[in-house]
Amino acid sequence: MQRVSLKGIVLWIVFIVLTVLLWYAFPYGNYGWFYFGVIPAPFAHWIFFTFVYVAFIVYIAFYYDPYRWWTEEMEEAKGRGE
Amino acid sequence: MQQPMMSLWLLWSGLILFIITMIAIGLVARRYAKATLEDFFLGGRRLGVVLAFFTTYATLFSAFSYFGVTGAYYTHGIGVYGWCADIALLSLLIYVFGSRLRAWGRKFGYICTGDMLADRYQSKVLAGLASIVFVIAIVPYVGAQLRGSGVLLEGFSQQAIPYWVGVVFMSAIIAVYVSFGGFRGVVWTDFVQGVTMMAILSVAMVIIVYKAAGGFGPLMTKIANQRPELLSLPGPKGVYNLRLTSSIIIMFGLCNFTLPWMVQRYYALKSARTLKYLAVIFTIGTMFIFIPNYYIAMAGRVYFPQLAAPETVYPMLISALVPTGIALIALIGMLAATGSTANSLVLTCSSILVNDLYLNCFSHVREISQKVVTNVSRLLISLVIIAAILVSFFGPPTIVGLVLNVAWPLMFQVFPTIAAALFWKRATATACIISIFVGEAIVLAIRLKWMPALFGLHMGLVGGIFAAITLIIVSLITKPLPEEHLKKFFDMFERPQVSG
Repeated sequence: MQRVSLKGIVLWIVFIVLTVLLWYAFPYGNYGWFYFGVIPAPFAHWIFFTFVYVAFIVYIAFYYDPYRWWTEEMEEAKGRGE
Repeated sequence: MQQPMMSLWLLWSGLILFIITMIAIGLVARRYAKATLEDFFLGGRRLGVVLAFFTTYATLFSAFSYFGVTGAYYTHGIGVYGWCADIALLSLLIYVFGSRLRAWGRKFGYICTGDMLADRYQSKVLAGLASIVFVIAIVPYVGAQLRGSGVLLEGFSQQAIPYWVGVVFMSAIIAVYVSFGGFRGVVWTDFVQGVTMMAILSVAMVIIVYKAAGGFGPLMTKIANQRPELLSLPGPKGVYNLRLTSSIIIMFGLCNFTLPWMVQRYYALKSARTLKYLAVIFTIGTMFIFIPNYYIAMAGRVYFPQLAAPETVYPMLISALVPTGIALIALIGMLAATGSTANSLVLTCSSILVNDLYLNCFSHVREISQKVVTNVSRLLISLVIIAAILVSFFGPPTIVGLVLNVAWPLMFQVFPTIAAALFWKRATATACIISIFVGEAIVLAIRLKWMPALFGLHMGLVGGIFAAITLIIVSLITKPLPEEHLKKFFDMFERPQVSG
């Protein structure tokens, strides 16, 4: 197994919690409750949490980026002596 | 009131324009091609963000998305979005799994999943077994796309164009542009087809909703008054309950890393940054398919309240409500959806047959030149298409059934093997082989009703759980791979020691 940092474990837990919220916690119920009169509530919650999710992925992939050690961008940077 | 059918000459004009465009792209792509397997199947590993997004989008969203998902919304209501949105789960995994797949593919020159498995586990038998599973799953999937084309043209022309003409029409186009253009041809046609799909679906949604119900607000009010259960989970038939939805989400989300045509797209990406962008953009792009489909299906509920065949709701609404010119473009968009999936599957299937089975299992033919191998690949493309045509005439009758109950559950049993290859050094080839057999046996047993689906979960996920448990247990009691061999794969992932 590869080593996983504490921060990595916390982020995985956040990911799982977001997943549960996205698919199970929010969409249930809500007969005939609409946002702006056209978006059914479960649908709106899914869409909203998908964007929260996307923000999370952006953070993981572009800022936290645990794989940056071995991507070729790093290799290129090493090659340039950065 | 239903519009009169568009004239046959107009229909054929549109189809001929579609053929010319697709074949022209294939021929132009050929001019850029080099006679190597890497170039033919991966386009020289130079896939950028925009093309990566559209080829992934057009390949993953097939006739299944247009007809199957819309029909499912029509029948089960909003709960269907739950498993469609598994793509959000996929996005993080694209980064986690895709980064490693891409890194190994680039470093070791892999073209197919089988290459990676053969090298990582030191077992051509395992690679051959996985490849056989993939081919068995892919050919009926291509057949389903061809069937979609045949049914679509037959329905749109009100039987003036027979079913077999539609099947042969799409088969011929795919054979030509995939054979000529290889991966570049597929990617470029996917770009055109993806843009068409995305744009037409949104335009068609607005026209259909306004003509069927007078707008989005009135449509939702009508649904809330007439069929409120379509606006809530688990839907009118209680199908999309927590257990089924969660097992489909997990299976679909994880299975993407088992789909050989998706793995090839990770191998083909130009840079790690491209992969990150793909993870983000793909999730948002998915909404352009599954949100319009919902409103179209609900408009169908208002306009055609009791359809006997719900999967036909989208083409029926197009035919009934959309002006002729846009309807023609919509038809081409639907053909594009089937064609863009079928072309990628055909290319991947032929690459598996050549690379994973032919070259890996009969290594003495390694001395054959790359040019000869590329020509053999072209011949195999024709054979795969012929097999798919036979499936489209004599195989199972529905697209959704083929995808949910045949293709994906079969391929998902290879997922534990691929995941272990990427993350668990202790996994062994013997364990993987046994786990695939166990997983497939469980799926078959549940499918044939020899055993119940445990805890109400989807049979694919049940098989996958057993396959994973088997893989872990057998790996721990069999001899591990040599440490030196594993270093080749995993040392690159180790965080460098910081000194000072």
